Amino acid sequence: MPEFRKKIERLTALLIGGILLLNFPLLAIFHRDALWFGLPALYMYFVTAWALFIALVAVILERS
Amino acid sequence: MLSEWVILVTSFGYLGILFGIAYLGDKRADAGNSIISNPYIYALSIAVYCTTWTFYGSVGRAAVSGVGFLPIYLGPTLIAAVWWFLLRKIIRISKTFRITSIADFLASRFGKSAFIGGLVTVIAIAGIIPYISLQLKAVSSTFNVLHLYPALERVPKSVEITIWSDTALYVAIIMALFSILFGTRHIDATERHEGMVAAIAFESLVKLLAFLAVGFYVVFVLFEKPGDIFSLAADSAPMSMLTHMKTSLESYSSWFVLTLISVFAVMFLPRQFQVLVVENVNEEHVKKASWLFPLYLFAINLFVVPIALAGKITFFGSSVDADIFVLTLPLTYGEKFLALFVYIGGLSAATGMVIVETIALSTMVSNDLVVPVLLRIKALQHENLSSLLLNTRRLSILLVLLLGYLYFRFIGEAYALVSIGLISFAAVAQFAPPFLLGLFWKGASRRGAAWGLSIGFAIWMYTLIFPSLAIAGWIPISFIDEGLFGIPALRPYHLFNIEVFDPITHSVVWSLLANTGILVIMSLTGQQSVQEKIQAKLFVDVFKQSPMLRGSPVWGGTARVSDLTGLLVRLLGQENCNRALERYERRHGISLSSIKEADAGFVEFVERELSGAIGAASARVMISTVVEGEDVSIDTLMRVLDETSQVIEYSHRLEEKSRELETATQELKRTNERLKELDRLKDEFISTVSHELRTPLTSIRAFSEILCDDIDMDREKRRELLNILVTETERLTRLVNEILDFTKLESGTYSWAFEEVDLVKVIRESLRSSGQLAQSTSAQVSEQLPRKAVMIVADRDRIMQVIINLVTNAIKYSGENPKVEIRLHDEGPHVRIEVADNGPGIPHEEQERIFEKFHQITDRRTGKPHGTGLGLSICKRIVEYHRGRIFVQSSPGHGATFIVILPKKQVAP
Repeated sequence: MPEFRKKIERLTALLIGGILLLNFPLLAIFHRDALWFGLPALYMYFVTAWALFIALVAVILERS
Repeated sequence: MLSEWVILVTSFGYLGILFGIAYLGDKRADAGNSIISNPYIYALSIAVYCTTWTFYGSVGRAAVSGVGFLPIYLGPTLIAAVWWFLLRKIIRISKTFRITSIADFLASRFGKSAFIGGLVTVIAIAGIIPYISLQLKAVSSTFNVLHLYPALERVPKSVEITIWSDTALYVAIIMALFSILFGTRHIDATERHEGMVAAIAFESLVKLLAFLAVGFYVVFVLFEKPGDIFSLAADSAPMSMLTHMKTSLESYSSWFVLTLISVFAVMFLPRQFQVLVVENVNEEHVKKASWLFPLYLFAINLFVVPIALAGKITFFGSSVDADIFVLTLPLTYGEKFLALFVYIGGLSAATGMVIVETIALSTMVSNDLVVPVLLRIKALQHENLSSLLLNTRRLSILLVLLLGYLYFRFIGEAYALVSIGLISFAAVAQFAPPFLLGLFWKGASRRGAAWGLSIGFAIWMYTLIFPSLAIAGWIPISFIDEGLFGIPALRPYHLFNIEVFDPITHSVVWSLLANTGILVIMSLTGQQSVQEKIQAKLFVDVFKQSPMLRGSPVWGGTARVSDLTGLLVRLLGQENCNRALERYERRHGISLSSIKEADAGFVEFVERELSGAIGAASARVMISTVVEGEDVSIDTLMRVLDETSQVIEYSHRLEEKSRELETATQELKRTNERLKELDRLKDEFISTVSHELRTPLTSIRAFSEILCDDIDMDREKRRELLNILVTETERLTRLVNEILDFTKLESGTYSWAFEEVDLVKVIRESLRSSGQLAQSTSAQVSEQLPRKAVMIVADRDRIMQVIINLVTNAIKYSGENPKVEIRLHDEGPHVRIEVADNGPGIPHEEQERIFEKFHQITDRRTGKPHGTGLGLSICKRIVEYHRGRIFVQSSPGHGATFIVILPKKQVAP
C-alpha cells in the first residue's frame, strides 16, 4: 500500500508541475525569437516538455 | 480533380470495412473471445477524442493563432497523469452501480435524482448537437473540395444545395445505421459494445496514419526538412507571428481556460465517458492508457504547426480556408491519392465521433428523458417495455443525428470548426463541478448540484448561444453590442463590463464560477435527504466497501418476489430476466421459486439490473411501485453503512495485528530455541569443568592424606609424592587459567590489543618460551622462517599463545623422538603458519572435532588424556577473531600438520 501511495503522490506532483510548466509565467520564458536547432524556441519547448511529461508518467506507472 | 465516383466508392468501401470490423468484434464478444480486451485498443478507443476538429481544425487554428491550438491536447495529457486513481475510482463506481452514462452517474450520485439526470441530458444535447453538426460539415465540405478542386469557388454553401443532393445527409444516415446496428444490441446499456469499440479503435489508427502521412509529405517531401519551413516563415512577419503567443492577459487567461475545459471535455463529454468508463473492460488497462493516449495526441499534433506554415506559404495571398490545408496541400502538388487518404482519415475522425456520441446520447435521452415519462403513463403500466426501450434508443439516435444535420444546414455555416467545438466544451465543462466535488466530497448535495448546473447552463446559453443566434440573424444584433434591454453590464460577451476575456474564456469563467459557487454554498447550508446521504457515501467511499455492503437494507418495506421478477420481465424481456435470476440464484445458492417475500438483497439486485437498462433514477421509481412500506430511517441506514465500513476497518486492523503477532511469535520461538541450546551448553560446560577440576583435586587430596597419615615415610618416597602434588597443582592452575581465558573469549569481554607485529619475531619468541619443554623431552624443534620481517596486524600476546599451544601440543603428542618443525609462508594478503610433528597423527574423523571444547585425544600409550581439552578450542577462537582459519592435515602414522592462515590486515573488528 505505501508503494501505491508513493505513486499517487508522484503523479499528483507531476500533474501540478505540468500545469505550472505549461502556463504563464513559466511559459513566457520561452517566448522569444531565438531558434533552437533551426526551430522556433517556443515550438521546441512544447515538443520537449510534452514528450518529457508523457515519458515521466510512463516511467512512474510502469516501473514496478 | 478526383471523380465523384472514385471518392464515393472509396468512402463506402471504408465504411463497409468498419461494419465488417464491428460485426467481427461483436461475433468474437458473443463467443466469449474479446478482441478489445487489451490496453492498446482501450487507448486507441479513447482517441475518439480527436475528431475532424483535430484533423482539419487544428491546422486551421494554428494558421490563425500559432500554438493556440495546443491547450486542447495539453489538458488531456495533464489529467491523464492522474487517471490511474481518478479514472479508476470512476470506473469502479460505475461498474459497481451499473452506471450507463454521465447523466446516470450524476443522477445516481445525487440521490438517484431524475431531475439531475434530465438536466444533464438536456445540457449534453444542447452542447453536443453543434459538435455533431461540425463533423457532418467537415465531411460534406471536404468531399466537395476533393472532387471540385481546383475550382474551389464552386464549393457550394449548404443552403444552396437541395437536401437530396447533400452528401452530409447520406453520411448522417449511414452513421445512424451503424449506431443502431452496433449500439443498441442489448437492452442492458452497461453491456459493452465490443464491435463498436473495435471499429472506433480502427478509425483512430486510420486517422493517425493519414495525418502522419500528410505531415511527412509536407515536411520531408515538399520542404525537405522542418527547418526550411520555419526559416521561410521567419522571413515574413505575419507568419513568424504563428510560432509566438500574444503576451497579454487575454491570451494567457484564454490559454489556461482552454486547458481547463479540455481536461473536463476528455472525461465528461458523453462519448469520452462512454469509451473511458462504460466500455472499459479492465480497470488495469487505465495504467497503460494514461501515457499511450497522450502519446497518441502528441503524435497527431506534431506536424500541425509545420503544415499550417506550409499552407500559409503555399497559399499566400489566396483565399484558401486554413481549415482544409491538409487536403489542399497535397491536391495542389498533384498528390491525388494522398489527398484521398487524408479525406478518409477525416471521414474516420468524423464517423468515430458521431457513432460513439450518438450511442452515448441515445442512452441518455432514452433513460433520462423518455423513460421517466413512459413510467408515468398509466396505459403502459403493465406492458412489456423491453422492445419499446430499444426502439426509444434507436429513435433517439436518429433524432440526435437529425438535429445535428439541421443545425449544420441552418446555423453551422457561420463558424469555423474550432469555435463550434469550443462551445461544446464549455457546455460539458458544467458537469465538472458536481462530478468532481461529488466524487470526493460527501457533502455535495442534490439541490446544490441542480441549481449549480442550471445556472451554469443558463450563463453558457446567454454568453455563447444567444450571441450566435444574433449573428445568424435570429435575434437583433444589438443584443451583443448594447446588452439585454440596452444595459451594458448585460452584454453577453462582456458581463459586468469586464472586457479582458475572449468570448469562450468569458463564458467559461462566469458559468463555472457560478456553478461551483452555488453548489458549494447550497451544499454547506442545506440538508441532504436519506437517499442522497447513502449515495454520497457509496460513491465517495467506493474503495472502502466490500461486497458485504450490497444487500444492506436500503429498502425498508416489503415486496413480493413475483412483483419484482415481473418488473424485470417487463423491462428486460423474458430471456434476459431468466438469465439474471439464474445468476442471482447461483451466487446466493437459493431457489427463488420457494420464496415469496423478497429480502433487501434481492430488491437491491433487481434495482441494479433495472439500472443497467433504464438508469438509476428510473429504476428507483420502478422499484418504489412494488415495495410497500416506508424507506428505512436515516438513522438505521447510516448506522448500517457506518457499521459495515467500521467492521471492514476493524477487520483490516485485526488482520494487520495478527500478522504482526505471528512474526513476533516466530521471533520468540527462535530466541527460545537458542536460549535452550545455550542453557544446555552451559550445563554441559559446568559439568565438564567440574569433572576436569575434580580429577587433579582428587589426586592432590589423596596424596596429601597419605603424606599426612604416614609421617615416617622415607625421604625418597615423600619427594616422589610431593612432585606429583606440584605437577597436579600446576595442572590445576593451567586448567583454571584456560577456563578463565575461554570464558573471556566466549563472552566477548576479552579486550584485544591489535597492533602491527613482526610475525617472525613473534614465532622466535614463542619458541624460546617453549624451549624448556623441548629440552626436557629432548625434542628437536626446527624452524623455517623468512629472512625479512613479515608484518601483520594482530594481538601479539594471543598469537603467541596460539603458537606456543601448537608447538607444545606437537611436542607432547609426538612419539619417542619428537621432531617439530615450524614454518612461515608469506602469501601476499595472507600468511600461513605451519606446525608439523612426527607423532602418530590424528584419525580422519577426529580432525574436525579436536577443535571443539573439552575434546581430548586419549594418549594411546598411557590411556590418559594430556590436556584440558580447551587449548585448541581457544586457538580456534583467537584465529577466528583475527578473521583467519585453523585446521589440521594429517594421516595416521605420518604425523600431523596444524595450519593457521591469517590475513595481514584487519578490517575494523
